[in-house]
Amino acid sequence: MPDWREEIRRRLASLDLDPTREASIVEELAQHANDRYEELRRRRASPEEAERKTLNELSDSRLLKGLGQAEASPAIFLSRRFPITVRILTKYWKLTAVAVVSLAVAMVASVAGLSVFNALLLRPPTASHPSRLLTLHQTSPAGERPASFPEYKYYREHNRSFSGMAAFSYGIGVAPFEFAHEKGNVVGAGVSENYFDVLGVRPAAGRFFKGDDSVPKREVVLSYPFWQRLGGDPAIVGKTINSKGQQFMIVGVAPKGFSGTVAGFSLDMWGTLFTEESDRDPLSDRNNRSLTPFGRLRPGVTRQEAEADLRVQATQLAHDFPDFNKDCSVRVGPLTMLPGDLIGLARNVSWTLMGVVLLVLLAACANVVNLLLGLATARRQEMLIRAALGATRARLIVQLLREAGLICVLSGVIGFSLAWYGLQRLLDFRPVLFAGLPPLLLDFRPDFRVVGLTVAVILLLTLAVGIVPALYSSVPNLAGALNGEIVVGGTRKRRARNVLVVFQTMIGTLVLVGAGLSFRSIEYLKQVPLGFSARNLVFTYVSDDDTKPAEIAGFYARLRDEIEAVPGVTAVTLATSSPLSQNGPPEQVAPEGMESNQDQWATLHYNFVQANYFSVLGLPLLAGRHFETIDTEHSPEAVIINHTLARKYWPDQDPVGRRMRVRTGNRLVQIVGVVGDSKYDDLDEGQLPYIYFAASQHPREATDLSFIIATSGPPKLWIPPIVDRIHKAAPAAFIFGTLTMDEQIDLVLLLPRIIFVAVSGFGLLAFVLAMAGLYATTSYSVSERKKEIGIRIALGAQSRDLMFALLRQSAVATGLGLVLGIGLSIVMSSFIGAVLFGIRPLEGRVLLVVALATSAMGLSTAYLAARPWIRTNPLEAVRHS
Amino acid sequence: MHDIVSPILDRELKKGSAELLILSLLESGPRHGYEISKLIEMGSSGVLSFNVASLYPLLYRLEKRGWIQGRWVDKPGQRRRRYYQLTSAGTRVLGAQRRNWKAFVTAIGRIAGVRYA
Repeated sequence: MPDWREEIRRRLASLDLDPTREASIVEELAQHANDRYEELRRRRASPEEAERKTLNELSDSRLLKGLGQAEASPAIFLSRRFPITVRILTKYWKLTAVAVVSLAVAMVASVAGLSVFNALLLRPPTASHPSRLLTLHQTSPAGERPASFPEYKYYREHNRSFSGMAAFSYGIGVAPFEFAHEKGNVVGAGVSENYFDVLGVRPAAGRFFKGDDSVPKREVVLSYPFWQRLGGDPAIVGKTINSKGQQFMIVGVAPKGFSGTVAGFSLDMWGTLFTEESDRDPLSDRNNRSLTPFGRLRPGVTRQEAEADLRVQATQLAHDFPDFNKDCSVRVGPLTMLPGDLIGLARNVSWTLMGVVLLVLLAACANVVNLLLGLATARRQEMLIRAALGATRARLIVQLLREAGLICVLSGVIGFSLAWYGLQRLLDFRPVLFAGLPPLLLDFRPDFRVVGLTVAVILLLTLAVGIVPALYSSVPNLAGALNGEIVVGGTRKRRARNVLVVFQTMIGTLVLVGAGLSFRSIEYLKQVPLGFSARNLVFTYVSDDDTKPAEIAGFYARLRDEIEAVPGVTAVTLATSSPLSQNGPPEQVAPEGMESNQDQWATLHYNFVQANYFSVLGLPLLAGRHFETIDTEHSPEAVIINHTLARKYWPDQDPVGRRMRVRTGNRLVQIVGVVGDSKYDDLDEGQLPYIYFAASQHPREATDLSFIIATSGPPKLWIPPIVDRIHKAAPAAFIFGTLTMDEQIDLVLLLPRIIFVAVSGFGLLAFVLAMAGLYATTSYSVSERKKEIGIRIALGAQSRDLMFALLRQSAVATGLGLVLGIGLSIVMSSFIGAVLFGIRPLEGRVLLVVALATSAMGLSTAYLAARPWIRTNPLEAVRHS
Repeated sequence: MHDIVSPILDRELKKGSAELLILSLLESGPRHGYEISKLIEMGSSGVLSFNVASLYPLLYRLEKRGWIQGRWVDKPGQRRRRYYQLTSAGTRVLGAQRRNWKAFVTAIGRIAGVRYA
């Protein structure tokens, strides 16, 4: 009689049934086939005929279909096999817990990283169909710049691509407010009247602005949270709110969840671009550039078409207003929550973060692979039985992948929940960078994009961590097992382990190099010569909206006298920009007589300063003189240039006495002095050309001034008495950004420090995971050779020699990982140079320290992992296996 | 007309009745699959026949619903076989299906003018 089992099993294979259940069905159907065969034989059928008939019945398609329906399993994770997976994982709960914890930690890091990435670069503002919204970036030879009101108006009226065009400013302000019994500060911004309409949002109460932008209005729209803070009464519409002695009518409330178009800040209210008559000069001032125009594409118009259309308008503008728009053009991009100049920075920071997060994830994956390999070894008996019962290799792989999937999903859920909770809490954090600035809103909460990416990561992880162990352990060596041999730990598996060691060491090296480089970068930044010698300085920005333009000079002079009277203050000076904090747009200059040559025009920043500015800061005078009292509104305009600008135009000559043309106003100015170079806005900027104008000659331009105050001791101590004195002398004045020189440097270093903390924090995590993995890997591969070690010891090998041999093997893998890691890090540092200041591709000291640290950690980890096995009793070791 | 209707009716009747048949056969005691198929074939004088492809999916479905329960039994001198037994839920279902079947047959009979003894 034929054996029906094999035949039946082959037919059932496609159903992927639970092995126990399948075995039972195979047995039962084989019994039936036997009975049928015997029955046919009794009816005098020939053996061949009986076999053919029985086989025919077994081949009936209804069998497979019927069984498939009867044993149906809806989805892979909901199948009846799922409990088996859980049972197996709970049986090896320690290994599972380690895998889940390492992966969950890595998932927290990746969800956090993805969320930051998403919040900074991907998330559009709250608007209807945000993908149809485009920002207009004006480009000029000096770089990209915001638009002036006349420019915005021109584009709005002349473009044919947008159904609507609005504008807002990334600059936001803080102002005191009073409403009924509520008092406090509001964060507000000015927007064009059609801002909300173009965004496509609907008011929660009242209406939005309407009418003409060029007619000043005192109207505000409240944000939803601010409305709630004021009581949440819909009848608020039509009431007035007071700010700085002015009354603003509340016309409406923005919808819930709408926080504006500026990342990082939660706005309380929006006002119109112009609120009073005296503000009207910005309407025609083509140099007052503070607006970001954006538009909504008309249906059917593409981004390229819109850009081409706007470029035509830009060419027309350049033709009509060569003084302001010569060589200017436009570029369009998606409407983002970050201003254009920050996007590049945010991109660099985000990608760096993502890179480190990826390393953390890889380190965790290597650990999970290692643990799954261990799991597979521990379960080889089970695999053998399954294979012996006829389970195909594909089915074993699916089963193993399913277990890996469960680990990944579990870790993913834990990691996502923790990260979500943490990012939710971050919302309440609201750090204030310094007094006067609105608190930062760190809204990195994950949205559907992050959830989608996380799911994708989990799927990829499942494949990545599951496939290697699955491929290895699904080829059980039946014959070897029957002979009682140790079948796992053969050369193939040992090679896999060694690859893991190389990989883990490589990751450990990479993250250490990353942390080292970002640390070096901060060191480099701190060593950058600032160019000015004074360090005991306090900066404070003071403005007073109540003072009329004609009286502003007197206002500052009076305050200056007050501050000078504070005991311990040695000198006071005023400037539009304080050191390392450049204000205002760039300017263009050319030497007199070379104006017609476009290449001779230099784009640079400038500062309106008082006469004693250079002596207070300790900026060396290289030639000529400082500004003096003779430099007045009525005397010829004098400028002082820095060394770089002097060398650019007059490399071997004395520039003092020569004249330059200034683009704005087409003025001719005379150079009276040359001062040393310094840092103007950031520590990592190069040697920039720079020009100083005398504040005394520009009383109308030099209106918003910062005090720079030298003190005779630690400047921090002088801040309270100085602020106090200003408050007493000018109660209505707005004091903002009061900082010491060191605090200003810290502020400039904030970003590099954040990068360092992120890189080294995540880096440490990855390093610990990599070393834990290294320990487990070494421990495992030594344990597999327990029998061999036992025999060697029994044959007289010294444990010291054995340890040496094991460490030598470990050192080869560690060394290879180190070399690969350092090689990769050199490639990496050419990219990271964009984010980290001053980093050379070969940072010898960092690489040396990392190489030593990694080797030491790698070898001591290997030693610790191998030691217990070397110490075992040889007899026991041999018997055990 | 007869030629077209017959196979369809046949299939439907079989489908509905097959469950009833199996449950009834198990009422008197546990039986294995081959025995069930033989009993149906003999009891219906060959009109109804179940082969391996139609019987076992049905048995598993009934088992999954909890109406019958199969277990492997070793009997001395015989092969190890899987015997199916009616559960208490199965007994209740059998009672209900019998009532429905009777009502159905009576109704058909009235309309078609067929009388049973």
